Amino acid sequence: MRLDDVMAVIDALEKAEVRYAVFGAMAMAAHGLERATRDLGLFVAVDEDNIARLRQALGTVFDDPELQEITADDLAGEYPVIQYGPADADYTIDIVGRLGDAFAFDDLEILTTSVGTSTLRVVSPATLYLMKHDTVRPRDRDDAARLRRAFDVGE
Amino acid sequence: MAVRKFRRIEDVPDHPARANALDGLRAACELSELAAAIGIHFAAPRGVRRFRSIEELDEHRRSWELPDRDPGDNAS
Repeated sequence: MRLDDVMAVIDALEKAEVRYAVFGAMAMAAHGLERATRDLGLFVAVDEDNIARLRQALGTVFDDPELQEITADDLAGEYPVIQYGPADADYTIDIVGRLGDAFAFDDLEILTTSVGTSTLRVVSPATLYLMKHDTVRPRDRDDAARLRRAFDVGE
Repeated sequence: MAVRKFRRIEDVPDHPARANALDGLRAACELSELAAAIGIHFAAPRGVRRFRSIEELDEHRRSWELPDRDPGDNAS
């Protein structure tokens, strides 16, 4: 995954006024706690208009008719997690409408920060900690420990 | 840099926070490219896949993060 790949997606989301927040490893990186990753995690509001803007935004970056398969019905319903893998890429975009019963878009604390000439909306360290501290993946538990040490969250 | 010793990995401090978010994103991407450069290649699945939970996605991810597996094996 290259920085240009990430910024192309972020720029497109911002221009299309998508309600989104980066979460996961890229959010960790935006808060200064980077590690290697193979995905860009996007938490999104799951209303029809927003998901239409999401499809339109991604369509400006990836010329791929499969993007039409990303629907609000799925994200708000039985399939709240959708993975999109662009052609010839070594990464995926993980689109999430909710995480279990714990998190929907409106539950997130979202920070806005500048990244070069663009803007980035990113889940706050405190919300990231809450997402990660009680999961079974060792990688997430390690992320939670790093967040706790760096931002004094979770105590 | 002087040698520093720690009793537990949890005690190792993170390096100071980067100056801005863009630097952090760049660092994460460089780490990812470094992993590729030293031979850790992954064939990320292409197209759209749906999952009932983040845990289901993680299970699928493990299948394609292992280099010898077909990324479509556990497709939903």
